[in-house]
Amino acid sequence: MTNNATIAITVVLGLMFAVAVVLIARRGILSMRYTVGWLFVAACVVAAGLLGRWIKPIASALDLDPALVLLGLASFSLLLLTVQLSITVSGLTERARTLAEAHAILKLRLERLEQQDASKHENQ
Amino acid sequence: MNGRNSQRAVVVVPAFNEVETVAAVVADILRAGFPVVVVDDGSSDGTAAAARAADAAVLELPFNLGVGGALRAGFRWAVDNGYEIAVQCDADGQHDPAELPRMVEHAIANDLHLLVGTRFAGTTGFRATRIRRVPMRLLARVASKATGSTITDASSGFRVVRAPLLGEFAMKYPMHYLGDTFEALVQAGRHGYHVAEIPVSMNERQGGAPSAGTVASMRHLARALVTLLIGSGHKYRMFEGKSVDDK
Repeated sequence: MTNNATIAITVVLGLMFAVAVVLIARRGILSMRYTVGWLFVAACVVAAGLLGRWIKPIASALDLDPALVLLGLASFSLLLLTVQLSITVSGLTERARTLAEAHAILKLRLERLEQQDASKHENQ
Repeated sequence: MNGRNSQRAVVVVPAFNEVETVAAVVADILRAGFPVVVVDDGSSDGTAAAARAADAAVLELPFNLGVGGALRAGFRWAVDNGYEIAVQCDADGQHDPAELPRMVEHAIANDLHLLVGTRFAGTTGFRATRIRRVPMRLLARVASKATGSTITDASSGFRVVRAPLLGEFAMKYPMHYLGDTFEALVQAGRHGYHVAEIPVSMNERQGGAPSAGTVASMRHLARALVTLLIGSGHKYRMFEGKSVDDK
């Protein structure tokens, strides 16, 4: 495959990914925060395609195939993103836990107040 | 804190699908002279109704949080209602409520913030499988070092917690596997709280199925090692305060 074809495919893939992210966001199932994050990833893919020739000197210095270097960088970025998402999920789990506990405590309190109220009415 | 339940204890019973045993456990606790709050951890078998019928206060979690989550809810409720002592007791009938008065008195008399009822130090015939014994000993050794007290049963869930540690646990309590037992113990020790253990008698399970198979034991070993790796880090501090002496 020629150099230009590789660049074109990478740029098109990046743009397709960006369009997919925007479409998902417009359906309301991806929040603004993550939309921005994934659009940044799409921009990086496009940039990697356009700046592909910068990879060559690095790859030859490391005695590696340029495609392998690009793949390695992409994998590492996705790994970082996954860890970041795991951290976010952990935070949300803690919030859900706190909410569930507060719900249970308030429910018992409400039941007791209702019982008190009912027995007050019976006595009147 | 309203003070009306000062120095009085409440028993916190986390329960997940324990409809067979929870009523009997609640009855035994009430007979021992303690108020009881059952934390129904998202059960689907009518555990909450059975506990309520047995005259327990019942906190119903909307979904399953695990033992740590259920316990923190119970501790929060205890603190909100002015209790300064909470006793953690299982709903499967293994923990003997007849031990409660002795445990609470021992904790108060010795000014202990956390008292662990151990299955290994005397009156109980409890024996763990060989695969489980290795991590249990390892956990016990790390817990002993962190607390400055001899701990033989770091994963026992029969415990007395007193203020101000109860207030800390009501705010922050680990919910992952062994976090509610081992990690809570280590953190209490690291923060300078007074921790000790006492031998207690243990009943056979009154219902439900124990997880004592080889696969379950191997899983226990793997998770215990991960907990050790994460929860025993010297720099990690769970509570915001530096130590009990600063309070």
